[in-house]
Amino acid sequence: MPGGVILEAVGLRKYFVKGGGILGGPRRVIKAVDGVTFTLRRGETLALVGESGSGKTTTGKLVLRLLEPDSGRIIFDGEDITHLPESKLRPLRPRMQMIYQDPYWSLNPRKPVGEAVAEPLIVHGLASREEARREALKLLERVGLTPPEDFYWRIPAQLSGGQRQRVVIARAMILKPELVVADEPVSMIDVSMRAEILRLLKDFQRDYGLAMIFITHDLSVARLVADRIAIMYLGRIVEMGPADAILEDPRHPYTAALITAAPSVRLRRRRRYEIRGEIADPSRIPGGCRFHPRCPRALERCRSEEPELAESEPGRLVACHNPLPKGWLSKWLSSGGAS
Amino acid sequence: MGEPILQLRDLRVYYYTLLGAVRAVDGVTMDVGRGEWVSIVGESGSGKSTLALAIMRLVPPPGRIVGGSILFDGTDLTRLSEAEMRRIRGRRIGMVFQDPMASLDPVRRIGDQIADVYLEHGVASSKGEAIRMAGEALEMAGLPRDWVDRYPHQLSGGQRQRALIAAAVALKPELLIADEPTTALDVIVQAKIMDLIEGLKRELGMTVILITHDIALAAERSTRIAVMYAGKLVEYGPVDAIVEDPLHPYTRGLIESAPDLWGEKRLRGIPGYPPDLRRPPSGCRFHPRCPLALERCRSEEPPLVRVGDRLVACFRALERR
Repeated sequence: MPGGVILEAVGLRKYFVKGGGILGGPRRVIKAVDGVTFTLRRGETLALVGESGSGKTTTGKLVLRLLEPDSGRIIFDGEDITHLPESKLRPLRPRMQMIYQDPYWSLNPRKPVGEAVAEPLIVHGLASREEARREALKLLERVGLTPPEDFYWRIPAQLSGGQRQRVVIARAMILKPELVVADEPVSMIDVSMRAEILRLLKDFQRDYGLAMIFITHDLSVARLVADRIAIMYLGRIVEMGPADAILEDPRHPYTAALITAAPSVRLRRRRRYEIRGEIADPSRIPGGCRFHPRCPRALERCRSEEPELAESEPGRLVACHNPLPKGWLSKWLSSGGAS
Repeated sequence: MGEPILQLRDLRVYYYTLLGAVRAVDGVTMDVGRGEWVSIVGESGSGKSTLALAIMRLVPPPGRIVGGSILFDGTDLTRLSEAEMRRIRGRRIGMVFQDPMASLDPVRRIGDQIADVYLEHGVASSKGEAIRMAGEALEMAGLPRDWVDRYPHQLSGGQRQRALIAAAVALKPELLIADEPTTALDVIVQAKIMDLIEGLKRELGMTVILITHDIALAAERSTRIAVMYAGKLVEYGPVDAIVEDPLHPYTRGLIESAPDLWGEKRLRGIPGYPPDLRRPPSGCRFHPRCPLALERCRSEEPPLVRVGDRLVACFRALERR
């Protein structure tokens, strides 16, 4: 059960400037995150779902202060950390951790994995080397790398992708964090081994009461882990609410397109809700509603006026001038047949 | 299914590394009928991509085809010279790979790259004619004809994959092999690319072999699904039979592992890890991870046998007959 608020993100913006140098080509401003607001409670999982270029990873890095926001505020456990200097941030770092997508790159190839797991305790001055080793052995066991003594001195190359991701999780969890951002933690892992990794994350969440931001491009994975889902498009949240509500009864046309395009064994012959083209280059975001050039329901107003993310019903938010009506998805699928 | 266009017989492809031979494809026998869409499904290390490369005779060193045959329309491709193979590649068998950026030359126009196909096979008599034909191919793949003048970086990911599909079907091949063609794309664009392949298949009367890790994607488009595990074909049959009543425990595990928006809200996995193919397990290669394994499965390799309209390699599946 979610508890008190651990994180508030308010109006976050992050732009990157590319090019403009002698060889860099024309100067382009990439609006990676362009006004993102959400809150997260202890024990809760919020899935940030979007395709590449939607700004979901940048959002994750901003709330952990791994990137500096251009504007907006980040409030962690009641404290505004937006402009906290690194020295003041340091004691907070162990409480917030990131798990990256690619276990190949997030581990030092020469360091024994047990040492990699123990390291954060030592770096943050939370344990002696001996204590940290003992704790690391416990964590290795906990993530299923048994017997832990065997795994402790292995280097990453001696482990499979799934085993490496377990090491990465152990390394993040040894600090008993309160907030974890997991960035596509299973997308590089073979399908048959994903369940175990997701279960591990859920177990740690239950035991530590940790809040999790789960970043994924895959709605069907989000469904399995998330309490709430935020759908992102070109740097903004376009729809947010309880996971089941979003997936069973989407309001935003983009959400509907994502849901009906997701490959499924169960519903193989379903009608897809078609949208035009592909996501725009984040340095050339369309005016008005940024989704309007692809939207089958776009009105004249959508070309000029950007819709705000507003409550459509209790607990649900949508940024759309012409949202889908209640119960739309089940009607769409039942009136279906092949598209 | 019609007469077979492709017949693999005990095909074996090994990679010779310093630490021993990796038996990537280890005795695969299967037929693909003319006009079918067959999806070969498996996880990393299953041998599915090596199998596709072997059919094209493009296995990179240190790999090589060490045994078996590949009959394409009656001709054994393993016995052809490289020159003879070049006449088949692109002309009678087209191929599309995962990463459109890696398959395109960034400094050459799209039209020139597609025109190469016509010129190499002597189908166009001049550069101008080849470019004109390239424009037609682009149109067939859903891109404007005048995009022959564009460079790859001017195209989005989905558009680049369309351009590559245009090149692959330029000479109207009988067989199209697509290896994870949509893995780098988002689901909405993926669906459109799959529609395109399906449309071209119908229009040109092609046979399609799709290589994918995604059994749901395979299930939506194929006539038959072949499931590979650790270099072996473990089950092969019509889509509905495979996904609704899988006979092989690995097929069942793979389906239950695939998160599905309309499926159970509980994810199951398969315990353990895939084997090291330099030292594959004795008996059935899946036995260390199999919930149904018997003593016999440890020592004896199950043969691929026909059960109704499908093939399966599992002693336990045979008990259900």
